[in-house]
Amino acid sequence: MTIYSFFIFDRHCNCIYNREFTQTSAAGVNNGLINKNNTSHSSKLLFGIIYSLKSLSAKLISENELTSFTLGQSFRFHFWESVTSYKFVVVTGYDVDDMQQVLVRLHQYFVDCVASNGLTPVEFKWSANGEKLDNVGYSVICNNSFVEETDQYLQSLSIY
Amino acid sequence: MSRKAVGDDIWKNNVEKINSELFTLTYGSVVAQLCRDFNNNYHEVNNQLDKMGYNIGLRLIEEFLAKTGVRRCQTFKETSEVISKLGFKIFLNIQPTIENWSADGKSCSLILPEPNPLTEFVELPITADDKIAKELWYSQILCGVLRGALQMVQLDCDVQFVKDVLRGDDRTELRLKLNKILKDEVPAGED
Amino acid sequence: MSSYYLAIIGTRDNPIYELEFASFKNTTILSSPSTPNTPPPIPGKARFAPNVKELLPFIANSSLDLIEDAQFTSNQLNLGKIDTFYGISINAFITPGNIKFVLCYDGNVKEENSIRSFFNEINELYVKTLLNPFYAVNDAIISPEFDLKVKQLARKYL
Repeated sequence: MTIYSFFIFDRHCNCIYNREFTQTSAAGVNNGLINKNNTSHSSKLLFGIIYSLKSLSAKLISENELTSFTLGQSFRFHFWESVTSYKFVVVTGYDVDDMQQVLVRLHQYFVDCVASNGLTPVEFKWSANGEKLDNVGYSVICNNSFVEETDQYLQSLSIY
Repeated sequence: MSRKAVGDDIWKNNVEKINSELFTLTYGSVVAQLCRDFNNNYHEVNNQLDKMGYNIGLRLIEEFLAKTGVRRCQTFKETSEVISKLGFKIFLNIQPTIENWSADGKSCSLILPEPNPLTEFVELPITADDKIAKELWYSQILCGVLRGALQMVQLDCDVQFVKDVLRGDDRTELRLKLNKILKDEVPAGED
Repeated sequence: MSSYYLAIIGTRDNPIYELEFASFKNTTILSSPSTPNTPPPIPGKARFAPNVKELLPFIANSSLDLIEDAQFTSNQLNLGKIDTFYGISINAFITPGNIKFVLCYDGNVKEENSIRSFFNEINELYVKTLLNPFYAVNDAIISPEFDLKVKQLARKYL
């Protein structure tokens, strides 16, 4: 009954946000890592799994939408994709059932803090200091209020 | 609920409203200042308005989807209906009509009703410069907004003004043309 | 049947708009003109004598001093009759932005109220002109629609 991490992928298959939660007893703000694992192998693997499962489920049953899947006995991955191809993934413990509402709410925070902010890039090919990163890398969501609000929201859930 | 009813409902309950005169005057000052900055080069002003609209559209689409929760449209006809009944209604409280479908179903005209909130009290100055009435599309920002928003949902479109009441035509008409549907990107190394 | 001369004068004493017209009410076609050389009155067309006609802009401008004095004594926008000049009466209205509307007319005692309402409506028209983003304060008003609407108001009130 716990939330391990939270990923957002954009339409260019890049991980633009990654938040890991650690279960320390100190109830501080930085109880976890923000945006440390964006380019890591695990993010890319996660994206690959999701992409394959999505196309698989679409081929098997055409109106099916991937919502969650489990790996082994420990982790459950909850997935939601917007029409604009932003993919929201939350990794939780095994017994958490339905997170669709949570994911939609996270998308709402995303809309309010990130999308509506005229100064954040929409195509995350721009780095923080305004240079265009073509094949070099991509920038991430480092909007403080987004981080705080999503943290608060996720921590306020009973399953945290 | 029909789309129109959904749109009306969202407009009534879920949308923060501002004073329309403030909005009109702000947009008017933007256009007038652009004309001064570019020395009355109206083609350039049109371009800038289009770029501004494009940036707005890229972001506005997220807000639109969050408010309305619509899923992917199956046909371009559906898309244009959603644009007119939900999109314009929620953000500008006007409902354009859709006409003039082309034979292949890929382009249509949006007729903006009067009064257009962007152009209330506006008259194009006639004598100083009669190029203005032939070259400036005053509400060009709308074209950019539509283009940006549709691009984020994988539709590559061209949007252009065809007629404008400010120029003396009988109605304000936008031409919306679907070029192609962009494919989802695949992670590198996959096929 | 009186004739009117309306001038809108800007903050730098520059004219923004001017119009001559005559009262649209009570026009009677004289069956036998008193002087054979006078053409029959055309409703709406001002009938100032030519020498008076030349002086009208001067009269309007000279009343500006009086307007500026009066604006600090009264808290009304509509200043009413502020001056006369050899049979021509001058009414004025000043907007909060210091734009002056001056109406010269060869005066019988006119209904003050109709002139007041006329000025109020002209003020509304002027505000709408100001809302046009392409119009700067103190620009000349050249829109033919403004002209048309002023004429319609003149027909209605005067």
